[in-house]
Amino acid sequence: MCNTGPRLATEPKLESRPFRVLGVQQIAVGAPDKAELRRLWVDLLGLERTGSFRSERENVDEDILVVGLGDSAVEIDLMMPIDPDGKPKVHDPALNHIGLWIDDLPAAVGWLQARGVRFTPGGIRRGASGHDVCFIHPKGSADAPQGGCGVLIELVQFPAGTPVDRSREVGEASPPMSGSMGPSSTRRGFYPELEPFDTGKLRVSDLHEIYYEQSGNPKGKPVVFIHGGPGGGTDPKQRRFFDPSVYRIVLFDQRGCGKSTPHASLVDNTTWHLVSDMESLREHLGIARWQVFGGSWGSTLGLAYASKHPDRTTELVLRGIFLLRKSELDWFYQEGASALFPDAWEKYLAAIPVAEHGDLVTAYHRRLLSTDPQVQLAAARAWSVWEASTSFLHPSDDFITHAGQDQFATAFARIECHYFVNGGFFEVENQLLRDVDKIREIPGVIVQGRYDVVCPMTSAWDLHRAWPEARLEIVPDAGHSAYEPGIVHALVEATDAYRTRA
Amino acid sequence: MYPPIEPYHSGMLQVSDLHSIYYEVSGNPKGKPVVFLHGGPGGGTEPRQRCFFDPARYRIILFDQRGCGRSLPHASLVDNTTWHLVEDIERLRDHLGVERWQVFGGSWGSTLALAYAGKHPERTTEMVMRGIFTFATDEMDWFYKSGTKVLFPDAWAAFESAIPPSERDDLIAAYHRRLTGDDRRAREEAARAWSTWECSVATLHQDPELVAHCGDVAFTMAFARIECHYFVNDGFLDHPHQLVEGVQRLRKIPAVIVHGRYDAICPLRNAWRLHRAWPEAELVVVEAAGHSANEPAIAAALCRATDRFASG
Repeated sequence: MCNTGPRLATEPKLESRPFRVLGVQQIAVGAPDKAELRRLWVDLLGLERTGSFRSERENVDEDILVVGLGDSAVEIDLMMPIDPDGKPKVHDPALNHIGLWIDDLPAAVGWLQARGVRFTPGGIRRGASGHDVCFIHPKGSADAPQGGCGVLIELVQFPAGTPVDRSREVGEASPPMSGSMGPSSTRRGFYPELEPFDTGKLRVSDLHEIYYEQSGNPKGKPVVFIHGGPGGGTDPKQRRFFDPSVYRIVLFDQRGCGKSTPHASLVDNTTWHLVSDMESLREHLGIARWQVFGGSWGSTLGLAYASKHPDRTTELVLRGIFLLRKSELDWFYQEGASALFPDAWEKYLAAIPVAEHGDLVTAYHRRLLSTDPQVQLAAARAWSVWEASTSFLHPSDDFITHAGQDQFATAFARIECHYFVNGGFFEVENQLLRDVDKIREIPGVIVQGRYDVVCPMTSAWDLHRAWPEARLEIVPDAGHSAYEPGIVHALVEATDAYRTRA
Repeated sequence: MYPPIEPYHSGMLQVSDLHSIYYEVSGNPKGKPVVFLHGGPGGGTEPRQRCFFDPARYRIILFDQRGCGRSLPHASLVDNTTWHLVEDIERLRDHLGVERWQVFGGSWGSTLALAYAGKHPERTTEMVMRGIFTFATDEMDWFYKSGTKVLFPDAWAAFESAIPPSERDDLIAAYHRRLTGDDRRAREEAARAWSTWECSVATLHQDPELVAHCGDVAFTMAFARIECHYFVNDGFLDHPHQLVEGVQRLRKIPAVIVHGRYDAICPLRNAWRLHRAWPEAELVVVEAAGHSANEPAIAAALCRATDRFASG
């Protein structure tokens, strides 16, 4: 309004500026390997990855994240060089450049140049973002003394007449997406973190001891959580699918994994040993009957247990159905999921020589049983990372990193592969479907992500057709993981609905 | 995407004794020419397909391929092959006095784009392709035999149930018999089931409007008959790797490939393979998207590509 003092001196210049900076268009950061950037930006900071971009000419392999909605949306680009020695060096410096939306780029460049601003060679050109761009050099020179004060600044032409509807582009492109269950804001989340009121080890054979824990209400309705893999072990987060004021929540690590010992042992480690361990644990805890809750391999073992002990099973809550049939193993380990994840698949294949590509499970099994710990570990990592890379509709690098850790990967890969080459120790391939009559009377819910590529929906569908009494809940915007938002919602709703059942 | 616009010129071009094709031109008459190749084959064009291009900078050419959309005779399979369509594109280019143009196409449109550019690389300034389909054997098997059905057993059950169990070992052939048979009702039923299968799985979230559109008799008759006709004839290619191998001739053409991670019709592997054969072509993987060009993030990526080429 009534400006006074020294500020007056700058005002006329501002008014004559023939362009406006409309906002921040992007922030580009680089590293030799973008996985480390994703751990920070996606896993820790929680930004959504909406796409990726590869260009040999630009020497860049980047992930595109978006933060904010509508006109205030900003792209965060995580860049790594395709050729670390090539140019441009998109990883040096790490905070590589920022992009600003400009309403009239040619006018801006002309006006700034006239005022001594230094631009990088090349002038105005098309940028990777698809718009015209021009870069302000980080440092000034003799001719053009004004640089970016150490920062490379990309001026980006805002689309003329705003033809690109960015609110639509960004708002709709980036999840949360609404499925049949409505927008994510109405979705149920996990129950709060909680600690067990009891933990212990139970000796189940001369060799094996299994870790178990109880949390929630000691006098509550018992539920047993069956983890995946086999070989995945439990995680504290898994206590949180259940209302702790109502449920007595039992988690245990199956033979050879998690905190059970001996670690990664395959001796006396079969489906039927695990079923019998569950019975030992139930008796040990003085539980007459319990709800059985499990996803992925947890659904396999849940069905196997319930078919042997239907009288001990009050309800079944199953997710990401896995019946351990050859067609399912082929889909995931030989041909199927590979079509949707050709990028992750290349890494899974690379661990095995081409001559053995015809039977990858067998090839991995040989290495996972190798006496050379290096061979074993390399195979274990590749095996586990393949599964982690494909488990989420929206990739979780945190999960992928965890899967690659030695201790986890060794148990997970060795035990999984051991069960798979042995057909799950079932008498017949279709045993779980054959035995559905034994569980038909048990109330059940089947939760399945439409884009589960690890245990694709066909198995849930087959189970549903054999067991129509169980409710099939398809989550339209979820992959395999129990931690996908839509899956968490459906599972928590399912356990809540059973709270009042005796 | 850009706002809706109307064409400033449209017409029918006689391309053979039998066929005439509908075409239209919108945007800037002096702008950079681009030809939009629709999918299917047999899908026809839609007005919203004009909106992938900046109308101030592009001269936007859409046309309906033989037998579909407003082209005549409707749903005809006579003289309807990939190479007839490639010739039609050349005829249209000549007719409009276009020297060279950008070639833009998704799904079957990407197939036809690769076939056209392979024959006429000197006429092709850039290529923008989406939801890559190259007629490799495993691509056909994925959608009609062993892949998509694993993720969509519910929609597959409907697709399969239109054919008696005794004929299910070769569904494409069974559908083809019905789609080209004399029984009008059987033709229509087969056409509806065929199209509904594809439309049910085209978007990450099933789009009821799209599925309803796929029940429209006029649309499905052209779409299903022409698609199936091309599929039983293996795209009229000499061999299933022809198009991917052919890119060696195209590698100097600036190109962008846009593909949805959860494209259940044309899986990402198709694009990956093309990118491996043609590393200069940029590959944009859109994580949370399916096959359709109407998926918001796919549309945005396509507009980014055309914007960029517009100023080049």
